[in-house]
Amino acid sequence: MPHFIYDKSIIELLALYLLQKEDLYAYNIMKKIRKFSGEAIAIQAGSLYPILYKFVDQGIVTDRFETVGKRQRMTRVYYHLTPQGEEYLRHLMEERVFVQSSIDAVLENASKEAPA
Amino acid sequence: MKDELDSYFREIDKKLFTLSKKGRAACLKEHRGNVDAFLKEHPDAAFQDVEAFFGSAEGIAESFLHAERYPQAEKKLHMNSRCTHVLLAVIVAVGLVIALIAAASFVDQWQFRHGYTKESPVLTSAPDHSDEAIAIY
Repeated sequence: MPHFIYDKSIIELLALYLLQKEDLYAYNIMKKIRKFSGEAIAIQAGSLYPILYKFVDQGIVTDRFETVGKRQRMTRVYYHLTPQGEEYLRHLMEERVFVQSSIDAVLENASKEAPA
Repeated sequence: MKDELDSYFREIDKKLFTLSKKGRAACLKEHRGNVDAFLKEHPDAAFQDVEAFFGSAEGIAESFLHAERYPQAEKKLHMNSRCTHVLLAVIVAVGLVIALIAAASFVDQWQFRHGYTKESPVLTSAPDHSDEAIAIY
């Protein structure tokens, strides 16, 4: 059973990184996260939908609707990363590297410090 | 599985009652599209697999409401069907009670006018001063 991720910043980073390569709809994004993590992590649709909608409102991605199925009861909503979205993704990646290295520094230095 | 899926989507739809009709339709269409894609790749999946992958109906509905992508329904009298039924039942019950009281009153009046009650003024002569007549008043 994969570990479900609810951290918004992680979901944003993963979704945008995947959208960098190709336009995807929500199920694709969820499936690829599971696949590329070896089923270690997963996100639920309820965590992803608000983030994707926020991205559309902010111009970070655009959406494209394709009606599927009989009686047109279903829609595939493909999300596409905009240039503004690429810029935001770059910012998220830099922030992630910075935070991760800072955490590593705290852990390393804290372990070296002699107890008071 | 079809019944369970229908029930799942109905539950999401019910919980989205504060959204506009257009918004509800759009949310459901997108989610149906994603579930359909999952089922095409997992034709032997059970409903529990769908729910485990995407999340519960309640969680999905909350995410759509939280996303605030679609406007809320106009704030006019827009009750769900259960409230409508309860209100109708109350109105019918009150109407029946009023009708019963009116009918009882009409019957009472009719009896009074046609001499079926002691107090009926259908007397051809002046009331006597007997003890019985005095007892009535």
